Amino acid sequence: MRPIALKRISKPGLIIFTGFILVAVFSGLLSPYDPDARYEPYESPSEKHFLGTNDIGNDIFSELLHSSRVSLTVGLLTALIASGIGLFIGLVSGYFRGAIDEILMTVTDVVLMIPRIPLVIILAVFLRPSYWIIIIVLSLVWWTTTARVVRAKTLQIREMGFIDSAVTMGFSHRHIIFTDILPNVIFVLIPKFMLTVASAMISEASLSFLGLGDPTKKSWGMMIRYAFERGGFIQDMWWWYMAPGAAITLCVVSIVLIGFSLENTEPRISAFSAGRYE
Amino acid sequence: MSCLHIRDLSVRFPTAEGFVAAVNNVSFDHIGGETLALIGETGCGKSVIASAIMGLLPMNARISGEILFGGRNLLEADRELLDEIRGRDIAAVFQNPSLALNPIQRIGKQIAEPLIVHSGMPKKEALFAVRKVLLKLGFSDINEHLRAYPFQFSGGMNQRVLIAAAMVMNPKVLIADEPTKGLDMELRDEVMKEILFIKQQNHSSLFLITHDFEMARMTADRIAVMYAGEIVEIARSGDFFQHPLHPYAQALEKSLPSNGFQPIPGNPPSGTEPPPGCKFHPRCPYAEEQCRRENPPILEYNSRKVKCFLYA
Repeated sequence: MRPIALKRISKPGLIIFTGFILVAVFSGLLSPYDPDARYEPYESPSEKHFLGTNDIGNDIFSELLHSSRVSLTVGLLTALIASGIGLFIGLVSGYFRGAIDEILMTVTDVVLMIPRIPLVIILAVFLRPSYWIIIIVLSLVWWTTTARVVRAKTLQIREMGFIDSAVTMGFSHRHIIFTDILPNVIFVLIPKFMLTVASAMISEASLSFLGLGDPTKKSWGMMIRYAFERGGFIQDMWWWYMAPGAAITLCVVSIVLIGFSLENTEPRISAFSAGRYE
Repeated sequence: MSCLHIRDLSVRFPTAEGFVAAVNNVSFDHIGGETLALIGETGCGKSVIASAIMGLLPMNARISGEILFGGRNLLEADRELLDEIRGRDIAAVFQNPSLALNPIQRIGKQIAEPLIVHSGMPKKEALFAVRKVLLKLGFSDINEHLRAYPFQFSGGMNQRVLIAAAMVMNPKVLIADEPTKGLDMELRDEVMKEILFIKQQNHSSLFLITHDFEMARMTADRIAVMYAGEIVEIARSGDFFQHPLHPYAQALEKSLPSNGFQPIPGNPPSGTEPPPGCKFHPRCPYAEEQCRRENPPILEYNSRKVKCFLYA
């Protein structure tokens, strides 16, 4: 990315998000206990157990650190796949226009109308609950807005002089899309990508909280669910459910901050081209 | 000798008020090695011809006729064939140089791109070839320039960059559509000098589109005058500037500041409802009854071509 984008990027967002990534990568080293090891259950926070223990005696702090992996993986992978699909459809649609555009945008509209969370819930109920299925299903319904934004940008860029210029140089469609249009679309794609990460993480948490997540893996949503189901709420053990809740919120806020800060970094193509040569 | 033959080219655009005939039955040959200047006022269809040759016309354009290059009709060519010809055999330099460059790619890569794509040259080698071209063009600080972005350059610099990019492939035909528009006098001369220099080096031919009489006089071997979508006169440059035949060309010459600044009476004809007969008759001092009824054919006169009944 160009230096200007890095300069404008939200500093608090970047620091917090990098912190979460580091925690996820090094959770094995950072956590004091094995998250599956069992100690005295329902313990309050103490020196031994920083955030106490849960109903089956797992150390909640270690659990919290390890859960970041699943939550972030779901968010990032979903956003990666969804942005990939959206980018492809948006580029093809905006570049070729005509019938291809009509067909692809009709498909996009149809997918856009599907109520996402209910669909994911139904699919999660019928399919085996697994993170991979959640990732795939979320990706398949989350690309639509990316596709529309990328298409709009592509339509704008393909009318610019340097595209005609590339055509007169005899460059193929593929070459023009990848070297002339894609680098200019990145500026709308990255903020969109960050927002997709955030909404995918929230969806994962909601699904897990509803009991549709993967029971074999620990995630923040799963932790809140167990805290509610197994007495954390009734016994007022706020550290049990507040910790993963705060983690999700903080992580999503940092991602959204980054996304918003990147939204204004697009170079103003018309601004520099005007007046320069007159 | 590779030539570009334009045969009965017509381009029409649908508008709310009906079809606009931007180019009407235009035929001419562009002979290998020559400089042909197409002159005419703004809106007469000069640039549409350039766009038609390069295959850049918008989708709604209705095109008829033939554009023959190397025995193949470019208007019927598919995209693959066009991609092979464009950039390699025919290159174009358009007006608005700052808009014609990708804002977020370095200059060096943009000049080298045709070499990488068409010749399959590795990037390093291509950049080396670009260096040589820029050196030939008299650029200084080449290293710095190759790493710059278009917005760091002035319009004149960007135009020179575009010329370099068009010329790295040694095209047989270079189409220059008002390449000096928006440049000051000094830059204008420099850019034209560069174009002619490269043209000579590569033995390519130049199809220059301009409304600048002076530039056409200095550079062209032959002159074609266009009015309202039609070519009204084609002549050798020397003959033409000594004595233009067509009344429009004569009026155009008289309207130059150096020749008395006499405006041509009347207005350019409407695109949707062109006058019947000769399109210039409402503004022509020699107009007769025949001119109002019939559109004159292209006539041979002293081995020059002119579209006017005066020479019948």
